[in-house]
Amino acid sequence: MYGKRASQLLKEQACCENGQFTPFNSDLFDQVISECNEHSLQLQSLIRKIEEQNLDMQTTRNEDHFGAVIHHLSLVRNKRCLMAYMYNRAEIIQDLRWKIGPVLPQEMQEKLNYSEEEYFKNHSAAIEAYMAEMDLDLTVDMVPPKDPYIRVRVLDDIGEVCLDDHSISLAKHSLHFLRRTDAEPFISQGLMEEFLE
Amino acid sequence: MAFMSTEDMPLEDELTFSTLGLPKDDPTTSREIRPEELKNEQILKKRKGNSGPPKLSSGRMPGYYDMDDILMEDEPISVVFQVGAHGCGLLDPGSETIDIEKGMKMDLPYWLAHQLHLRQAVSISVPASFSQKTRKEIQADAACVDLKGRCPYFYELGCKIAPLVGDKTIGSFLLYAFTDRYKEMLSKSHGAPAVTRFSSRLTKEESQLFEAARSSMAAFKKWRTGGSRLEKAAILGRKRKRTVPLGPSSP
Repeated sequence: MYGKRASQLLKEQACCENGQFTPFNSDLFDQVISECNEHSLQLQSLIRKIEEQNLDMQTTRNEDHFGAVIHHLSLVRNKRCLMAYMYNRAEIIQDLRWKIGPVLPQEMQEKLNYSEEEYFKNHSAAIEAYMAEMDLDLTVDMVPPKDPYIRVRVLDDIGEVCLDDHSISLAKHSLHFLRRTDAEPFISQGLMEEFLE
Repeated sequence: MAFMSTEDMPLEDELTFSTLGLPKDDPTTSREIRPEELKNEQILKKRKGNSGPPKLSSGRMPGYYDMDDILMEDEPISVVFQVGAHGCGLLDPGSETIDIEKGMKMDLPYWLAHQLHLRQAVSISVPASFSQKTRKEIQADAACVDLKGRCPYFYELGCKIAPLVGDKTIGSFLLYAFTDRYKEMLSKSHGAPAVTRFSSRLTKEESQLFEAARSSMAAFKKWRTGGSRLEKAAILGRKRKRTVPLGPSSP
């Protein structure tokens, strides 16, 4: 059936919603593209057939015409699916910069294909250039802060980190009283949690 | 509770607009489709470019990149060919020739059936999801009907199919089904865990509403008890096992 693979590609992306992310399915993606090429060849051969019979392309409504229409529609449909697949992934990738930061964890990195990695890097660079120009970190304080300092618990061995002017050792299970803006990236990466009495 | 009423209003507005509103004008009603379609795509792209990243499931006009709209158009519609078509045998995996003959019956996805219908190449019959049998079941107890199993895009497809088959009763049937199920959906969503037997019967649109109601109630409870407002990015998935920090993480 025409267009089945393309919608399979989208379904894969859609069914793991709630903010999750699937690895780039290059196999299926390439299959859809070769399906497109096939449609294109069929379309051309049908058009050639109409031309050979010396019929007017605009007004002819014979079997060849409807065959060509079906191939054309399938082509357009496949294109829409592929575009939507890339576009929706690009949206998620943009979000990653805001939610996780400029460096992606390994398991995330593996899910991107080459051009998506480039996209992420360039997008990240654009945001950083803008923030440097404004001299303002836009990625912190996504939730309006109540207090400039918060108490946090470390969930993973982070090690020695340099915060502001002094370095601090963030060992697992240790409690710290940090500046909120310093703690926020660690929390969104899942390395710390806010500690509440 | 005052909170509830303010929370519910915008939801209700939004969905009447998207599910029950009149079927959108289809820009592709003329026979010569190619230039028009291209123009529309370009306009869409321009709009996207100007207004920044659009919200994906805003539920109003489905955009070119709207995944739900694309998947909805994949629903099968049974059609009868009024013309023949050459070189399209693959449409029907069982067929031996590569040509389609006049009078052939087939299940085509909506995107193809709709466009061929506009060119008067096929005739469309009402899908089983809107048959008399379903209508009777809905009339008996709408909330108990497994609409997801029938068609996950029940309302959207209904809106699109109604003008094509010229059945005026579909509109009011959709409205009845939705309003009847809506009450049940809202009252069940507040205390419910994420997945229940009830929520597995909901169509795509309904489950988005269900989830919206559920999460806003959860957010309200959290706000009242004053929990942590900073959280790990949801995209990283569930909390990793803390005992094995370097082990293979679940996908």
